[in-house]
Amino acid sequence: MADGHFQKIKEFADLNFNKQIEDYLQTRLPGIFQILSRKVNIEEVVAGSGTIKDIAVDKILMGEAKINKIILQGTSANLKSGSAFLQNVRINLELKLTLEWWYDIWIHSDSGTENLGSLWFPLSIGDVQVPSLEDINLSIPNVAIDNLKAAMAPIKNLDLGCGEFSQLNATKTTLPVNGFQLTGLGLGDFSLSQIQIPQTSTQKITIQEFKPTDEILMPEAQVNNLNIPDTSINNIQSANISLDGHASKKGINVNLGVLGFKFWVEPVAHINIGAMKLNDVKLNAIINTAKVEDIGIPIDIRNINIKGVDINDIDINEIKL
Amino acid sequence: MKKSELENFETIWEKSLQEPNLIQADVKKREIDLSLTTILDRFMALAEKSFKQNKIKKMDYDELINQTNGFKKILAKINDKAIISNEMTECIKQKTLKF
Repeated sequence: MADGHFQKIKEFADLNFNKQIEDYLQTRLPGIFQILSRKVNIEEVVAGSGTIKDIAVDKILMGEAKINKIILQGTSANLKSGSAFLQNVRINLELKLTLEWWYDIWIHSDSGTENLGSLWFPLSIGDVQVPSLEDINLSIPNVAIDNLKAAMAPIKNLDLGCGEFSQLNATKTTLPVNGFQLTGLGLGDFSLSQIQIPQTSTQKITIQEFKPTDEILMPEAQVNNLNIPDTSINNIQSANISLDGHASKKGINVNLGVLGFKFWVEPVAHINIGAMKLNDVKLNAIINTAKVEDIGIPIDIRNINIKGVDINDIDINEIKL
Repeated sequence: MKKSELENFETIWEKSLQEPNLIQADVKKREIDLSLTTILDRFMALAEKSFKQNKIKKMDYDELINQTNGFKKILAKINDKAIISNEMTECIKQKTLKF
């Protein structure tokens, strides 16, 4: 009887002790997590929404950028050339000769037109030095360039600042291989004051939308009042230049009574310049607006460090410790 | 500039440098019929016109016809047109060589 009573008291004490342990663990468990450092496998993490205080990206490698259109508005350029040099100038002067004739010697008369061919006068002028040239001013209201490709340099140390995201989904995440630490973890409202992930294995992470609080500027997207400073170009040399100059034909009329003729001459100057050289050329250009539309860049983001993550409506399907 | 344009200029340039000071125009040679028969025919047409205008007496006009017809007969016999044509051809050849 006494043994049975004692047994009931012991069972009651055990139950009470287990409850005390359970209550103790429930109140002390976060403390244990504060010092927990080990490898965790998370099968899937789904977050409906949240905020991020800071995202720092160590490097973004960008592939070949495809630009649908570049629009240059209000482009003006000024080309200054110190002097010009015409090399090996030659003129082949052609005189096309035509003869209109007639005669009437009473017993016989006739008339006609004869193409007498050409006389050629080769004139070798040699080199011509032009001491000074006037500036060349160009004003182009709008220029549109379609379908370009550009090699983009990598972006380093990109700080996106604060932002909000929605629908984060991470599957098969291992944090981390060498252990990790969580601080400030509460089981009520799920919040993390800091996550540092130096080495993480994640099969897939998707964020449906991320909106940085600060505006992100693409420097190449639009540039206003682009002033290209004076650019010195040593010499500009053209290829061989060939051109023809035509003059109206002129003639002389001769009347000898029983015969006469009109002698026509049509000059043509065939000009050849071995090369034209512009010396001491300086170029200055101003572009009011350079607008780039529809830039497509394949990117590879390396080493993301996310700080100050607050996640709402988190749903972790499976955690393996 | 197209390569053919430069080549054309060089070709003409070399041709111009080698061209002689005097060149011969390529024109068709023309011959004039200066035979006495032709001249007499042309003259008799003019005499008839003058006779109709009473510028020549009938007696003189008739004698002119008789004498001309007799002269034309002997000219036809010796073929004066061929003699004159050959001579002019030779003359043209010589002038061509001379000038």
